[in-house]
Amino acid sequence: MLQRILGGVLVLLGLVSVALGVASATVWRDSDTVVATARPAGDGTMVVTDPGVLGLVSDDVTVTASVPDGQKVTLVVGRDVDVDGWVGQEPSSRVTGLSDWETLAVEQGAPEPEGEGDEPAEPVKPSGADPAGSDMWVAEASDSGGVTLRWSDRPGRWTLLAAGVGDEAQAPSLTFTWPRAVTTPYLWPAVGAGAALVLVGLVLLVLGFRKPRRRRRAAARAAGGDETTTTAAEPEGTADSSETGTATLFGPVRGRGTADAGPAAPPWTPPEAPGGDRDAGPADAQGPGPASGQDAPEDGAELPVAGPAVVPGDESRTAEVPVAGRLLRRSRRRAAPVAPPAGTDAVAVPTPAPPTPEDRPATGSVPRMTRRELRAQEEARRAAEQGGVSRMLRAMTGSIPVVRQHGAPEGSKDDAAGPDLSTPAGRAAAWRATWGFGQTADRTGSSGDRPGHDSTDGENR
Amino acid sequence: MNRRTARRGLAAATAVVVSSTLLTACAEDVPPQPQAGQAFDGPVLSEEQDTDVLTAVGETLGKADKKLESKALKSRVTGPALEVRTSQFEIAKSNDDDASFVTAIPSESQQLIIPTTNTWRRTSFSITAPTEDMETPRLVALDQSEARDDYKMWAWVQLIPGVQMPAFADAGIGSEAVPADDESLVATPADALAQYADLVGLGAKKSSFSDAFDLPDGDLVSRVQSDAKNVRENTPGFEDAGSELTVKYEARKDAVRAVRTADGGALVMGVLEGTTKLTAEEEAEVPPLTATQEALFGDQDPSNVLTVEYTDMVALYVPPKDADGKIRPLGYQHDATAASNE
Repeated sequence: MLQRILGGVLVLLGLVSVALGVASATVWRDSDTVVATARPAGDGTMVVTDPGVLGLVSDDVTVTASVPDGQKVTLVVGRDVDVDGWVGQEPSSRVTGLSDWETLAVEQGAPEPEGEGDEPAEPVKPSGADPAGSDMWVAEASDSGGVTLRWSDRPGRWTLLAAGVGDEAQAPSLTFTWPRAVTTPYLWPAVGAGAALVLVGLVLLVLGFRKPRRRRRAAARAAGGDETTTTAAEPEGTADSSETGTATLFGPVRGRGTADAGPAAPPWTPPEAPGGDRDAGPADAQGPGPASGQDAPEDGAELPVAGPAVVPGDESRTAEVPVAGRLLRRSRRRAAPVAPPAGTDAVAVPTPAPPTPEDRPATGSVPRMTRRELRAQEEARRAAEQGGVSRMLRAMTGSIPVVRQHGAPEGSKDDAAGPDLSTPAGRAAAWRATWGFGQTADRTGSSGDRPGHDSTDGENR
Repeated sequence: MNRRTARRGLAAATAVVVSSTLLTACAEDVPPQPQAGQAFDGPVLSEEQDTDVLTAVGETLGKADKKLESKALKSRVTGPALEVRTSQFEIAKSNDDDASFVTAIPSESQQLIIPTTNTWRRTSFSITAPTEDMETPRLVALDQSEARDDYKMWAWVQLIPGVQMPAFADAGIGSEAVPADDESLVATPADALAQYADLVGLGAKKSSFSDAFDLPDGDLVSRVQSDAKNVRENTPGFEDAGSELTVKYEARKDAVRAVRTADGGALVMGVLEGTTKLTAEEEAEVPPLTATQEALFGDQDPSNVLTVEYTDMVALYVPPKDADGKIRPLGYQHDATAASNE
């Protein structure tokens, strides 16, 4: 469950990240142009830009000057000295730069009086003179109402002079439009990170959905060969640790998880221990160490089951099992066919009944072991596997009793295929009864085993 | 790691991702500040602009020349050029609109001499192509007296045939204007003009400045002197009437335009004001001697005095002080602009 939640969250985050990335390159993408306006300040019919303003954002600029309808306006570009000379002592507005990305800073004032003569700079009345047509300009445009001038900046102090022309002329307001190269540096990182998150989330989701199914299958199987299973908890543990290498994605996470498992396990175990198999089984669906122990009765697939099985079974066998389990597991991963019937079985038939018959041929394929052994092996493998995942999950989320309880009902629901059986123990008992296995001693063994298993786990990890 | 810390960590990571994305998306760098760039120290006009100026001047001249209307000149002609051209128009008009009295000035240029002056007045020069009649090229000076003025033709001269022009800085680099009192030359531009005026008025033999000049054949000195000689010798009854011809030349003050040449010297253009006064006996009458004078003389009653005033535009090359060179006349425009019986 947690796995699924986390998976969902990750997928969601991933999608959000992708969306943000895409948005950064679309909706939030900077405009391809910078458009800034300048409103004339003070008296005068002229607006002059400081050198460098024309090429402020990029070399190409389009300047539009607008004046009230019917008036003439002229835009020219010239050398700064020429423009200043032309403006002379007339009052004018000076565009000094961008105050923000949309507004040009405008100051009032005639240019510093050039040192010609001693006569104090007398304020000259705006003449409304038309700069158009001077030999000095390198670009000019003139029209009534409004006019647009394009300019490609070149080295030197080129300045723009905009003049309202006529007796009652007003200084024009200017709009500068610069093209701008816009980059989208966050598009691919965000999309990449998002995609990674989605992938991780999806993997988690898939695992999360597969787990219950597996558990169900395992339960069925456990019902079949519960007590007889031979695998030991330890071997699986080792198998597990060895696997961390093979499982690339969760490798590191697991490592952490295992570390946690040690300390985390003890607190849980006590309550379970007294409760016996029955309580323990439903209680934890996710916990790695403990979970396996509890699942044993319920799902029949978990380590604990194997644990108890070991006790009754031969120790020599247990020794063998780990290797077999490991091999089996790996082979199974690589290719389904290699896996003994249990694997195919699991995928194809979730219901408890069919597996048993199909298991038999499988035993045939692995002559050395009994059906039980195989089953136990398989269960142990799964337990370990699950243990690994759940451990990882725990590491990521922190496992909580509440979730455990959730797991339990689910498990019970899954297993509740049998109409009359509400508890795993009951179900197991019923199954056993059906198949003629009367003993329940293993379980007590398994419960007793649990702590030991945990500890070994802890050691292993 | 317990659940809470994990959750916190997750939340923090999410916050970092989201906020950084948002921030980077929304936050923009501060607008750039204008970079003034290098101050202009090159030519005040590009060659293209200067060519446009010459074209505009040429168009104005063309229109005015056709109508022989001096008013039409004013937009692009000024100073002594306007004065002389106006005079030429008058003369042409009173000679059946004979365009030969008007100096042709090609607008096509073979060399542009563009100033680097950032203040006003600015003067650019142009050496035109030869005329259609294969006359020598003209050297034209164009003035922009104020920022709001256009470039106007201030003066022109016809280059003396075979004269060697000094080298000038490339039009793309620009040439420095030389003030009238520049001391870096063998003579200041103003002094050079004054000396040349003296030379023109007195002739090479009498003038004390003849050593300072390297006078080519066919320059203004020889022209004026030979004209005077011609009047003295070839005017019927000149000697009988006890006549006297005086030639006085002066450089017009403040009418000096000079630009640096590549060798550190200067091209100087200026105006010489010349007056020839032909005085005969009291009872004698001296009518205008040439069609030009006649036109200028108008319907005045001839007296025993004929005064003709000339406005002569001249161009000199003045070498730098340390070069030990001589001042060379480059060209002139010799035009009578007034004639009177006083």
